[in-house]
Amino acid sequence: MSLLEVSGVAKHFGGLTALAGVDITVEAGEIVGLIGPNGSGKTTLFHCIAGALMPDDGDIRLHGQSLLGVGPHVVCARGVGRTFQLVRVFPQLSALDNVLAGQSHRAESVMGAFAGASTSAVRRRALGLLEFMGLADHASISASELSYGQQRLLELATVLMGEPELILLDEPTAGVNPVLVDRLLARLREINRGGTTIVLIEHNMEAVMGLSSRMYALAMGRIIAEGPPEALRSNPAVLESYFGPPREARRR
Amino acid sequence: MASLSRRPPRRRRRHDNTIYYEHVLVICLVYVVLGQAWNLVGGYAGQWSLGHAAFFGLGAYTSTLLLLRFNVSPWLGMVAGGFVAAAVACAIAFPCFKLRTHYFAMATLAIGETVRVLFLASDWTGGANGLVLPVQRIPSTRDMLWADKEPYLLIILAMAVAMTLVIVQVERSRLGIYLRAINQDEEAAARLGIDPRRYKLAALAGSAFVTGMTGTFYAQYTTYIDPFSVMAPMLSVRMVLVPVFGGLGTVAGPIIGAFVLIPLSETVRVVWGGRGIGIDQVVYGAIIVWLTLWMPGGVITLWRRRRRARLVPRAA
Repeated sequence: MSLLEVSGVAKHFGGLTALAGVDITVEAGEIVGLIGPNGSGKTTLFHCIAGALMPDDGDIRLHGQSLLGVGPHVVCARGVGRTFQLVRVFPQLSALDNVLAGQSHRAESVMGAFAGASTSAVRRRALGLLEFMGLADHASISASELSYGQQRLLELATVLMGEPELILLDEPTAGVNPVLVDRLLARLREINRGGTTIVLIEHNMEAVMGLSSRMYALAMGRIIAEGPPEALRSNPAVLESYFGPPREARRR
Repeated sequence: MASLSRRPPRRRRRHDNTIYYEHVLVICLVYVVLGQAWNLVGGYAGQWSLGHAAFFGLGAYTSTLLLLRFNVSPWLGMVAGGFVAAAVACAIAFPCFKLRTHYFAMATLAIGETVRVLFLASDWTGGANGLVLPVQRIPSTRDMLWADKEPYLLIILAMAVAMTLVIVQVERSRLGIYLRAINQDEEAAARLGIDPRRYKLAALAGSAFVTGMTGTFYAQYTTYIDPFSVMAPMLSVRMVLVPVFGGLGTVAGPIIGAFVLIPLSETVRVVWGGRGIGIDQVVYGAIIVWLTLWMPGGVITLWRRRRRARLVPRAA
């Protein structure tokens, strides 16, 4: 059984078709890249998997169990973490509190959360994640005072705090300076080596092709190609979705 | 001139203002409790309720009706009032939590007004005439009725200390982090596994419970309630104003807000209130506007500004 199975997922916004029957499967331990031009439905697919949007049709299964109709907090509790296209950290919380907000909430009651502060083991883990991301010196600084790239790393640390099995990363390198991109990619490889499965949307082709073991290409809400990065690099349908039809076809 | 200088010095008349000062202190502490309670849902969870007067009034009416109709002690009535307010808050939460920011505020304002009008129209609750507590039983510890203000002062002081300790614990606990996360970005909090509805509901119910209990205390203290005094929209506004003025989402904010705004309101009322043309309210409003412009994040920012000034010395 695959870790994640998306079958026939469709999503419409009024007359606009964002997803028109998407099928993807993700095996445990993989890094899967999702590429496609702007507006192809990549982020909508992430929203559907993460429970932020309800698909109009199709099914999404994690370990064979349907994720349809449950809220984002339940999807997270079942082991799916995600980052957003534009960084979404809690700006007025310190970097450490941001990471602590991501601690596992499975079966935690409101009174339990009220009764105690985070245990020293949890705090140590949060500080360890900040160190892993190179943000240990910024633990007590408000997230709003960090650079955009640092906020990307902080968001990833926050998601990792919940110990997800699967992470959905929406353009993790967008707006990040090259030095931090290298650090981010190195950390993603390490996270994957630790057993976490990753699905990432990325426009930085060098990054996504270097990182992914398998890729899907989306265009107009449909999967147009699937395979190893080298195969997609020269796939005519993928090239056409990005650059338009070949010159000969246009002449005709 | 000579005769004037020989006049004996005027003897200053001694006023015993202790009772008045005690009253001002009681009202300050009432607003500390109300401000802390509102701060939990408004300051920490970011749900700006403008209908908290309804919870206050429900607490006041529940205990008073239980005392007058069923002779239930207000000590029990206070807990019952808290539960009734919390139950109504939960009922309100389900439709209202779908709304965000100012739409939530507008919905709670409308619900607060609806509750007030219902009480105004009902004969069972005394309608516009209100309800008078059994003052003939004074003093009675069982009925929470005393002639002196000291017992009331002790009760409200205990409530203010207890509520402040609760907020200190919220601040220290994981709950504080989750509520502030929901306040800053609900969707981002949900993707981390935090259930926004559950935590917002808990914050609103807890806030309404304490506000309802304070309503009972107020009814016992004033010995008379009507929908205009315990469910007025202005009461909701003051509950918001106290923590916002002092410092939203902070432990000290409602304490500072209550101890600045209530004495300020009393001072302008004493100085200008007798003219009968509402000049005291104009002055009160103008002072609040001026102070808010000066300290947009609340009075508490003064401390932060001073601390920052110490840490970052001005360039020469």
